[in-house]
Amino acid sequence: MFSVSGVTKKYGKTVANNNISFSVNDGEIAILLGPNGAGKSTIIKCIAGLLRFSGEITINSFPNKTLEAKKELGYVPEMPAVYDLLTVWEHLEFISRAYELSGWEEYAKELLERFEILDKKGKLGKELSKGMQQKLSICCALIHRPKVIIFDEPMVGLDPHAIKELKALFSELKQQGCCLLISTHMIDSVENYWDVVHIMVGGSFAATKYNSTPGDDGQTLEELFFEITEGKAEKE
Amino acid sequence: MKSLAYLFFTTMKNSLKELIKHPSRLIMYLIFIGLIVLVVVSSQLSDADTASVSYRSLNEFGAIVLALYTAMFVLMAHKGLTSGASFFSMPDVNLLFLSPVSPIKILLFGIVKQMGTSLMVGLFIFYQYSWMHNTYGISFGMLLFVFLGYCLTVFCAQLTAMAIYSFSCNSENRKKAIKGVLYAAGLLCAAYLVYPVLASGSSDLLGTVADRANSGILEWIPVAGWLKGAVIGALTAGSLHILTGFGLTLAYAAIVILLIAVSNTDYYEDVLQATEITYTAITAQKQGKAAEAIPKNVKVGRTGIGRGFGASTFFYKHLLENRRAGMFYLDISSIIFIVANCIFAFFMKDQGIIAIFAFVTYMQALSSFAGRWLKELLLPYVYLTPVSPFKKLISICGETLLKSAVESVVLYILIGFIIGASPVDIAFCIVARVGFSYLFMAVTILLERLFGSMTNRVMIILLYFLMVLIIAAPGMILGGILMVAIQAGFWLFLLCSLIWNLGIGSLIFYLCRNILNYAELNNQ
Repeated sequence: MFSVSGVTKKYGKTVANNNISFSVNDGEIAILLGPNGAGKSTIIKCIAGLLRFSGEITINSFPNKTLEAKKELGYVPEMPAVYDLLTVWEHLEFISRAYELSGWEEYAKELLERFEILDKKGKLGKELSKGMQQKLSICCALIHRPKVIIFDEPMVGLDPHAIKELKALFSELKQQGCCLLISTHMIDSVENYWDVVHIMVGGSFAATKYNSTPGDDGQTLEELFFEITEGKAEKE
Repeated sequence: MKSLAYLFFTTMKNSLKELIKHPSRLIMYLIFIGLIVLVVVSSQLSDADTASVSYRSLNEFGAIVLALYTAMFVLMAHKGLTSGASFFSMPDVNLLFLSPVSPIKILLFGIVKQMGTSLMVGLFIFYQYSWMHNTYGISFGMLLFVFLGYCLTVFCAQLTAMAIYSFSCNSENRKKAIKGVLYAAGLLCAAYLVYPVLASGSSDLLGTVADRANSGILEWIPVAGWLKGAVIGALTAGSLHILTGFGLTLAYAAIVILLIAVSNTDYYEDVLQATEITYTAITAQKQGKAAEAIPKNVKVGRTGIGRGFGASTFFYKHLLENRRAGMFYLDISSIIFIVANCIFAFFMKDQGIIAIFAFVTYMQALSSFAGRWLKELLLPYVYLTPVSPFKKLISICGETLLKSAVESVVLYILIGFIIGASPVDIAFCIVARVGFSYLFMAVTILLERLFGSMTNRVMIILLYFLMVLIIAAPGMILGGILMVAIQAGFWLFLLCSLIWNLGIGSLIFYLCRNILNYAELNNQ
């Protein structure tokens, strides 16, 4: 599991995240939903340990900047992150060596096959299309079998088959007890595999909705989202 | 036309407004201008002491100008065989090209914009005033002619690249023909320059080549030769040369523009690829990403990183990337660097090893913004990897140090042969250069640590030079004092610099040991 407690992130005078607190338990999928510029990517980068912030973030009880936390974490960035001069397979070899893994080859093949890029394993990063780079980026984030995985807009640029596989993978990882945080601004892509959705507006959580909220008023996620985001816009 | 004028003037107006909104940029421009003024004024003031000093032959200066203009023209025009050239930005392509405005008018708009860009590109000439003035007695007025000639060369080269691309983009035969003409012309010029040296066996290689470079024949080389003639004409009060040179160049530009406009009104496709490439490079630069010169066809060769575990994986990955990017440890930029420094050493061999070492180190500082370790900072893996950040820092810097060591050995052995320096001096120059590489990396890390969020690259470079000067100065001053005090050779200066640079560099590395804990490298 991971927990975020009172996290505030400022860029100069701009407050990108304002006192955010939430946690995601093992075997849970949490969604960050929000319009462009809501601060989703910023909080994700804070959790991944890429940004400085005030507040506290722990991953399986370890502060997120520690080596123990990093070992448990997988991160799929918004923009695919691949090296131009490494082949697909060498990317996975690189991660495995850097994370000091052994016996990773079978799982690597499985991941590449699943995302239909096993036949591209000899291709260089620069030769891949943006979608294929995104697939490789996902494989790199999963190869060390992390317990906490955060995805920043993972569907962008993927083909329908990859989207289907990724959604199936979300459910499998959940079954295996991993906790997942997925950021998106596309409500349609969330469907019903989520456990909790946090709607972000202006750097804060504007609402939190559980998939099985007792006494749910029957309001769909889409209705709630527009009620909050458009309501805020009118007030402003 | 109204819309184009609106776009042009609104862009200019908004640029000025931005300057007022962001005083840091205004300060940067003022520093930029201030440095030019400083270079010019300090060179003029030094005249008082050197009134009786005789300058080197203007023929040499003419040869340098011809070489610079020709290199710029050929390199830029050569792009016409691959991606072409473009006077346009991506918003121009996406918005202007789709608008119902005549393509000819849009082309003229692009050309006007390009004139401004060419002027900006040539500003670096002003920083060269000091050595031009001290060595060849070039006045500021003459410098303006050199600057004007350079700007016109760049402008005409862009036009030529566009015309070549337009003419040859759909025909391999045409490309081959143009290449053939370019190479044949290059070989003929080289033969013309070198023949008298080979034929007469003259020992004054430099003087003979410089004389040939200033002969009338080479002044007929389109653009570069004409402009060199005009510039040297300005230096020697040859008004006919000035008129002929600039007149021919302007006529050439007019004819090429006319050819592009008349023969090919549908030039949009021709400029698209070049615009996209430029846009990608500019975007990368704005984000602080040094665009890597990756060969178009990479030879993959043996696959697998094969070595490394934990932090050291980064080092071996860099070696693998280097193998694919270029040749051995020296990539194209290293080779250009070595060749440029060797040419300088050849011309300056009378000045001795000290002047050459100073110049090589200055060039080294300029080129230290490259390096695979800086590219590593742009991807998340180096931050996410669960290994000690200090070990990761050491590991990602390893490749750059290794490359610097190889570069130093090759460079100084060549320089040693060129100037006939002693093996001791050469050995110390090699290790001292590696010491400077270490210090430059440390300063870059410190800069990222202190000003990591700053996006203005020019400001960063200015700060970098300032910090390098301040941090490296004690070692050099101490070395200088000791060298004079005990009447030792230049090696003592180099040794002191090396010890100081390694010590202070290590201290900076240690103080910044946790820098890879965050992608935000500074403490803001």
